[in-house]
This record gives sequence, C-alpha cells and structure tokens, in this order.
Amino acid sequence: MNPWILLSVAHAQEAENADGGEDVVETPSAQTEPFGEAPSEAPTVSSETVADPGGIPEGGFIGNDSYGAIPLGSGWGYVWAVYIVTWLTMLGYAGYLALRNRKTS
Amino acid sequence: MKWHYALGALGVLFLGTGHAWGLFFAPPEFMMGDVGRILYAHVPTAWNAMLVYLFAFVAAIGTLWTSKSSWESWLVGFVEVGVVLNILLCFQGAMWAKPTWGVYWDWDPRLTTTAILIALFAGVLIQRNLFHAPDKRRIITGVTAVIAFVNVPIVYFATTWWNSLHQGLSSPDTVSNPMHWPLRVSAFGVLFLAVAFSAERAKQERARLEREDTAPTLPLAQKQLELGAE
Amino acid sequence: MPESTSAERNIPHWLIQTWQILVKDLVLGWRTRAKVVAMVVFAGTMLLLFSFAIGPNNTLLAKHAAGYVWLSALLSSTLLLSQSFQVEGESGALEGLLLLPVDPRAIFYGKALANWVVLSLLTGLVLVGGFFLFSVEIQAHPLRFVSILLLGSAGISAPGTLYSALTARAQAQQLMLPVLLFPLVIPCMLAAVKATGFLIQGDPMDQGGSWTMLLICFNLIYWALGGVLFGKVVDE
Repeated sequence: MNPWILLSVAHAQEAENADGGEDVVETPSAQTEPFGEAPSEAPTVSSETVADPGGIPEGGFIGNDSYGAIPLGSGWGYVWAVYIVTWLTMLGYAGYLALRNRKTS
Repeated sequence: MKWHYALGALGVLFLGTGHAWGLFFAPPEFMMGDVGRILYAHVPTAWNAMLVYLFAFVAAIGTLWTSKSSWESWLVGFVEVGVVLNILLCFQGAMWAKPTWGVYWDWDPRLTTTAILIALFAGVLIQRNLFHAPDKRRIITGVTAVIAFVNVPIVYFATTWWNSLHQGLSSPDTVSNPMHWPLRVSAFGVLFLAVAFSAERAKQERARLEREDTAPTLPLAQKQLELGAE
Repeated sequence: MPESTSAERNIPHWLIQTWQILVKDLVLGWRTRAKVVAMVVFAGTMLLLFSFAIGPNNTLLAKHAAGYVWLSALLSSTLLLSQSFQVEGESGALEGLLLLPVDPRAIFYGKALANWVVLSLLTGLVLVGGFFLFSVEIQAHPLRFVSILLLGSAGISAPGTLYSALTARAQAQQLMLPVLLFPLVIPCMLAAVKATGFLIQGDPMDQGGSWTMLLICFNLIYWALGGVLFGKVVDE
C-alpha cells in the first residue's frame, strides 16, 4: 500500500472531524431536474468543507472538493484504464488515417 | 509537405515523456492519491479539445469567407480530431469521476457541456456526409461549425446555473509545483499530435475535394497518374 | 407580391419584405391547417405518453410538468420546421423567391417569425393541456407564462428556421434536423423549463429572472446569427 494514500485519506478524515460535521450544508438534491434525476449516490460536499481550516494542502489540485470519497487502494485500475485508452485512441486514429491513405492512393 | 509527420513524432515524444513523468515520477496527488495521476492525461486532453474546436471555428470562418477548399479541408480535419479528443475526454472524465465522486457520470456543467459538444460537432460531420454538391456542402459545414462553436459558451453558462459539482478549472497556476511539468509536457504532446492528425486529415480531404473537382473532366488514366505523383 | 404603397416608403425595404413573407407563410399555414392540427395532436399524444411513462402519480407529474410540456413542444416543433422549407422546395418556390429582388434576411426573418407565431400557439396549447392533464395549480400571473412561452418558442424557431433551410435538400431531412437542432437548443430548453418550473412551483430565491435573461440572450444571439448566416445558406 502506498503510504501517500493512507496519509491523504487520514488527512481527509481529520479535516472532516475537525469540521464537526454540523455546518456541512447538503447541497439540496431536491432541486428537480426535468431531464432526469441527479444520481442520489453522488457525494455532495459543501463549500464550507472546501474552505475549512484544513485548507488546500501543498501538492494538491486547488479547488478539489471531493476528498474523503476515495475508496482505499482502488486508484491504479482507473489510472491505467485512462492511459491505455488514451494511447489506444491516438494509435487508433493514426491507423484510421493510414488506412484512408492506403484506400485513396 | 511532411512537416506534420515530424510534428506528430514530436507529439509522441512529448506525450510519452509527460505521461511517464506523471505516472512514475510525479508525487501522488495529495488528496486523491494515485487517482490524481489521471489528470496528467485528462487535463491536457480537455485543453486541447477546446483548442482544436477553436481552430475549427477559425477555419469555419475562413471557409465561409473565402470559399476556398484549403480552409474547408482544415475545418474537416479540426472538427474530426476535436470530436475524437472530446470522446476520449469523456471517457477519461468518467474514469476519474468514479473513484473520486463515486459515479461515472454526473450532471455537472463541464461534463454536460462536453457531452453536448460531441453531439454538436458530430452533427457537423454527419451533415457533411449527406451532401454531394460541393458548394452546398462547404457552406453547410462552415455554418454548422460556426453555430456549434458559438453555442459552447451558452451551453456552459446554462449548465453552470443548472448544477455544479466539478472542481475548479485546472491551469498551471492552480496546480502545485511538481505537477506543472508533466501537465505542460503532456499538453504540448497532445497539441502536436492533434495538429499533426488534423493536418493529415486535411491533406486527405483536400486531395478528395480536388479529385471530385477534376474527376468528370479527366480521363481515368491521367487521374491515376496525377494521384500517383502526389 | 403586392406593391408597397407610398406611405410605406420610409420603412426599410427589407422590413416590408419580411412582413410580406410572414403574411405569405401564415396564409400558407392557414390553408394547410390540417398539418398544424396534426402537430397539436402529436404534442398531445406526447403529453399522454409522458404520463404513462411516469405512472398515475399526480404530484410527480405536476412537479415535472414544465419539462414534459417543453419537451413535447420541442419534439412537435421539428414537424413544423421541417415543413417550413419543404413547401418552398416542392415547386421551386424558393428559387423563385431568390430571383426576385428580395433580401435574404427578409426571407429568414419572415419565415422565422411565421414559425414563431405557429410555434407559440402550439406551445400555448401544449402548456394549457399539460397543466390540465398534470393538475398543475398556477400561482404566478398568466402573463408571465405567456412571456416565457413566447421567448422559448422564439428560441426554437430562429435556429430551427436556419437549420430547416440548411437541411431542406438533404436526403434525410427528417433525421438531420433534430440531430442538429436538439443539441443546439439545449440551453434554450433548459432556461424555458427552469423558468416555467419556477412559475409553477414558486420562486423564493428569485431565480426565474436570470433564466429569463438567459432566454433573452439566446434569442438575441440566434436571431442575429440567423440573419447573418442565412444569406450564405440560400446563396449558391
């Protein structure tokens, strides 16, 4: 297990505990969406949580308001999926162009 | 004119370097852990998809203004590459959203806007394929591309009011120091590749338009000769 | 086309032409009113289908009434818009119109205004029918509904008329018009649905005003852009 993950999750927990959880205002999901319901399981994190004394730590992407929602140890699968598909897309498009060239010449 | 092959090679080099850097050497993102590494692939794609659409808009204006096939072929190249990047962007976004938000898709303004963008610009390409008269086809491609691009800020504005969850826009200024470089290098990699792809696609389109132009008047043998010499 | 009288001399020429084309289109629409009736029936059927999709739950239906009403208006609008230039193409009427010294802008604005009129009537009927079917109790002033209705219909008809002209000679117009138009009018639909929803459900935070502003901006952009681009579209 990467110690960084544990550390970051621990920090996230700490930040949430320090917040006391009282002034966390749920973004109302009761807001009706005529084109479909917003997924109810989406974690809604208030702006208070973002601006809390924990603040934006060094080494973070500023504005990220989603910490605390990371399931432990499940990161790399998604990471590899993204990188592999990105390269496959580039390769695939290059292949498509090459194929078009062959067809026309 | 082979400059775009060199540019493509440079793009592969940059993208490879940037991605390797982001994957293996950059520190894990503080709050998201290793999942944060997705952003080295995701953010450059996002920037460049929008940039390529901007190029397409310029090419569309040029197409309508000058009626020249060179502008038109660049327009086709940019729109097609833009749509490819845009679809890739949505996939990357979904892969990023699942571990961080818990869902693959959310009706966040930026997600919704990018999804609508696919529909708008794919419509340009689909529409183009349904017309065979060259003038009509050129105008339709130009007009639909201009409208699609003009619509982007309105869609974004509307969906922002509608709902919001996405994190703030990432730019080198909002990202901490060790993350600048893999992001920048990857971004230039994607840009070089996108321009190289667009150039190649534009070259093909130009050749096709020229063929269409000359096909009825040229004897078949001469036409083949001309293509072979290219 | 009737000769303009001397009293109309100080009005810009293309404005008079716009009026003439508007009247022509409305007369044409009246003579083929069976088509308009078909659209109304189609929109009504859509409303029924929405209630079947949701189930006989009056509170739920009333809550989402604005969305259903605008969706059925949008879906039936494609029937109207695809007709708009097809009738011109049938006997080469558009070519005839273009041969006359008519400003292309006049053709666009005349036809877009005619579409707007018909679409507003259609949307109005759908709105009333939807509120009746979904047992919506209206609190806001009816005139506010009318303004949203007019703005929303205008937002569909300007880009719709432009795209109708674009796709008029495509082999698959019935297919292409919605494919191009629907993603384009998403902001307009969103704003219209939201504004109508706030009128129905009450608006304690006063958000309806900003959605109305968005509708107005959308209309300004596309009514202007349509006039600029239409000349290109019909000029071959």
